[in-house]
Amino acid sequence: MSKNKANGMILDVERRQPKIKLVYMFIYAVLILVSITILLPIIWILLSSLKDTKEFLQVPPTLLPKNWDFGKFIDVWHKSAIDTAYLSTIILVSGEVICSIVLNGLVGYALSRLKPKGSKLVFICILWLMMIPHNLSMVPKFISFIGLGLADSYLPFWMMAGCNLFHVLLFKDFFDTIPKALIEAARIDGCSELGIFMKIVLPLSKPIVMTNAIFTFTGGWGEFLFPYLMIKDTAMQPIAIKLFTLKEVLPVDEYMVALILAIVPPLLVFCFLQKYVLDGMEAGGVKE
Amino acid sequence: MQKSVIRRKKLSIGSFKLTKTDVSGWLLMLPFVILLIYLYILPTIRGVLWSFFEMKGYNVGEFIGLENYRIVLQDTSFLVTLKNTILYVFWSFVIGYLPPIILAVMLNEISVGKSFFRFTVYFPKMAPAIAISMLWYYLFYPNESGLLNMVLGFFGMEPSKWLQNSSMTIALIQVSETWRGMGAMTLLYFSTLQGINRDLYEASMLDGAGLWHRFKSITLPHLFPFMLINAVRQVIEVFQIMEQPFAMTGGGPNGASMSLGLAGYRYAFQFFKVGNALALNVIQFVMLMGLTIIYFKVKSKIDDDV
Amino acid sequence: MKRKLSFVLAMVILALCFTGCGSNNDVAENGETVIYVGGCPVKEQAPELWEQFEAQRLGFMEKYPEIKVIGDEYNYSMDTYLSKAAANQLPTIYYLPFTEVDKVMEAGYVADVTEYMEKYGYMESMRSDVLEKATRDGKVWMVPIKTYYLGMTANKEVLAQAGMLDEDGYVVWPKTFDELGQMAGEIKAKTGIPGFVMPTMKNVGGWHFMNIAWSYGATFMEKQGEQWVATFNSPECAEALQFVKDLQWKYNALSDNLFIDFAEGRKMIATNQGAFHFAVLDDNLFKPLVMQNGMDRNSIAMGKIPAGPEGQYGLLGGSMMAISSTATPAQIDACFKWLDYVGNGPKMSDEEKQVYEQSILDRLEIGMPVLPKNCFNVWKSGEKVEAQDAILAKYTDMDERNLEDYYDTEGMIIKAEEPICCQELYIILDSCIQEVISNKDADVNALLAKAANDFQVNYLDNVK
Repeated sequence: MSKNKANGMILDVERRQPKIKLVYMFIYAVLILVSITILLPIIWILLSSLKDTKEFLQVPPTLLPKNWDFGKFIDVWHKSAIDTAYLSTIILVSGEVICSIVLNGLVGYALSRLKPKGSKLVFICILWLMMIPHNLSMVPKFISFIGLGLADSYLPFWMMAGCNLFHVLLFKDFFDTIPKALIEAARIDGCSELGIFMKIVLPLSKPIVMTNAIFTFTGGWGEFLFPYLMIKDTAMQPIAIKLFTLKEVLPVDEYMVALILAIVPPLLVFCFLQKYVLDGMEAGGVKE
Repeated sequence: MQKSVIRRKKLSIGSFKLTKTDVSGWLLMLPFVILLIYLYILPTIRGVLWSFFEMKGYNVGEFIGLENYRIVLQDTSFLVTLKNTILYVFWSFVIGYLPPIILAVMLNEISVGKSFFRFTVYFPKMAPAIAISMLWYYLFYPNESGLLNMVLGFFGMEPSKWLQNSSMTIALIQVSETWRGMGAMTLLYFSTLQGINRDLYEASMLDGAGLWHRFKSITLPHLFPFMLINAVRQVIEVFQIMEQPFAMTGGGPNGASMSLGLAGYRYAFQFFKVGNALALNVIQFVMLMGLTIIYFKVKSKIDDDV
Repeated sequence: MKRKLSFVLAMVILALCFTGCGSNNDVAENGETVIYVGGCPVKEQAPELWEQFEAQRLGFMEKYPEIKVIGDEYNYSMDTYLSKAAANQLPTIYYLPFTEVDKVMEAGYVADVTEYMEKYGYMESMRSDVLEKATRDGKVWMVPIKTYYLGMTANKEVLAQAGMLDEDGYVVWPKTFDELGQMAGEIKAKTGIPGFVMPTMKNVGGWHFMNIAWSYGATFMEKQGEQWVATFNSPECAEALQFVKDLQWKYNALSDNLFIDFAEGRKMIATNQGAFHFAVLDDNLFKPLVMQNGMDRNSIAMGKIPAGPEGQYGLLGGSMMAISSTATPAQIDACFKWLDYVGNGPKMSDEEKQVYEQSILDRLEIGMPVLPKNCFNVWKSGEKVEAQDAILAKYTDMDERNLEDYYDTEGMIIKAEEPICCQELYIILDSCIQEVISNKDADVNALLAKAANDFQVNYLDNVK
């Protein structure tokens, strides 16, 4: 899919017309305004995080903080044990990413290439379950996890990541595009189906694997309600939960620091892996 | 090994005939299928079943028929909460439905700065939702130190109470949600727009059609099916809203931002009335299933048309 | 074939639906009695506290080698209790607030401890009104540990800024709610800092409001025959709610931020963002104020909640020790030994005095304030209270004059929370408070009429 292919209503020949120029100006004005509304709050918390509580609540407010004290970031980092939260989140999320790629990938592969008898039923199940509201299953799911003694454990989240219907469909769609011949050749060479998947299919699937990894990462990083209910051991709580409980403890300005610390890692991922995110986003959208 | 592949050895159990591919295919899917049953199907069935029982703590007690439903439906706040939930949906459309479409169309027209704008609109979606809720909680801070009141002050206006003004609460929560989710929707529409054949525009231009006319006769009809699907999907999603009011207002002021989802949470995790929570969830579930069926009807019709 | 498959699938699922989730409690290993003690500090967060707990634990195990104590970090919280209980993950013994007694007993998670209460001498030494809170159907289900009554805390720094301390630098406590409103309004007018912090969320608003309403003569519920009836749609309660409304619209004494829960209220006092706030003089106040936010302990003043037309009330609350219903008699007995050992029992032997003194020294070491004397005890006054007071007096690092008004309970009525559906009532009252504070035109009478009806229909009518 080529992103920058000119595909607009305005045709090249019209570019020079004054009326069209006006349209362009209008478009840019709107887009810049939107960008500002999105960036301004982020800049604001950055600035606010450098003020102290009194300055934050001061009337009239100050626009720029009086002193630029970045030491506060380190203070909050230590005081709130952000490092433990980061670590827990990373353990939680890496497990999710692995489970998501392997399990969802396998199913996507089976549905796309092996198509065992009756797999159509699974496929239909997936389509339906995707649209079924999840609110009803939440409490029983919670009860059964608790009953299995899985409170304060990451296993339920890994399980849930390993059964992500949306990602199965993404995988399936991608695998549909892998040439059959490659797989047949491997099969004739005596590879097992698992072997084919691991050795042939996955290496070919870097884009989809990346997309899956990133979405699972950001999803896991931000997941709130279920971890909030299930993980009560403070040392194991991921950052999103930490953020919620910190609001009770930290003064406003330090809370802003915590907010920034929670937002930055996924944003970094986004900055560096933008291409996969945006492509995946669009591919997923069309298929759904 | 090789032999067996070539010969396609068949395994038969009664009338079932399974090839080796079938067996290995199912084996590969097995963990997933177990999870699918355990995480999706089983809890949903349990939820429905248990809503007819008296739940003692998290244990299933006696069968009490519709008692849980009676309690939930007779609750004096049920109708208000239902109305609020519908209001959430309403505001999510008023505030959040058109902007992504407009932005996508605009984004599709420009060539300079396209990737920058794609980047900025999408990036709130990457941050944890709870962080965004908290961020907006402080943007809406009700004295002059909140960003939005600073902006109002800049234009010489009186500070507003924002979330604390009960007639605005739901709309404002949806503003924050739109801010977060707009980018993702924009990109969806954007990629849909990529599918339009440019020749159509050219032909249209040669017929002397202006931009507005081209939009109306080509772009809009192309987008329409997706708009319809997204509309249904948005209803389904917003109807289950819970975390945002939970984090930002706790359902207040005076219940003005209470949603069905939050009410269910309260029953289950604050009042220890799991049976009531499930009954409420089933009610919500039934309403949404109606929508889901509509969704599939719409979608299959569109798929047929496309 | 598909049909057969789905049939099998359906049967499997149905079978799974009805299999409950059971789990067992492992208790004794090689003759040793193991107890899990809740409320153990988290090592990473509070290493000093953890070490102190560890010292107690080891000391105890030395004294009773047949008992093994394991620390458990669990502290009661409403949204985890059931899940822990259902998973059998509750400690053998843990703290529980007074308000939760009914809920927990109804769910059947606590043991009957009557016989041990007799054996260890609690029955004769404990104040009967406190004991009553733990008693249902003639049996005692929990061990009251601590009681308190709601008072009012003041941040002296803020009061000093507003120039409202007396010539000796002490707080002049408002005697009536009107005085409180005026003082609070004046503080905000002079300093811009809210003169009064009124919580509105997570049940805290309702909890504080109840105290105000009682002093105006309001009642909340009564039992008529078999049926509970909500009684707070009354002129008295309306007056009380009107007072809360006036705090915002007449005295202009409240903060701009409406959404204030327990933690936020504490935080406001601690960071000089509020002057007066209802609170209890205990560690739940000291931790956020002194330990987390570094407030000077002698900037904390504590007085009574002002009197209303129908008297001066203090809401009674406290915590109890609950013992899991899965505990064996040997475990329950071990729990009582533990309680004695850590100084929560009725006796005060020399050894217990020592333990108590050590606990005070421990507090000083980590910078927790030490009160000048016990303020409100589960024990009938006597030997134990006197011995403790003597130790406290020796080590206190707080200025008693700041706390005088709170200690003096003369003429005050200390009243326990309403008997049933308390948390539900608080949520409803929270809503009323939010409404009167955020809406200038709120109709107090209509609000209460609706609230009382909500409470009746949604909760009281469903009580079996």
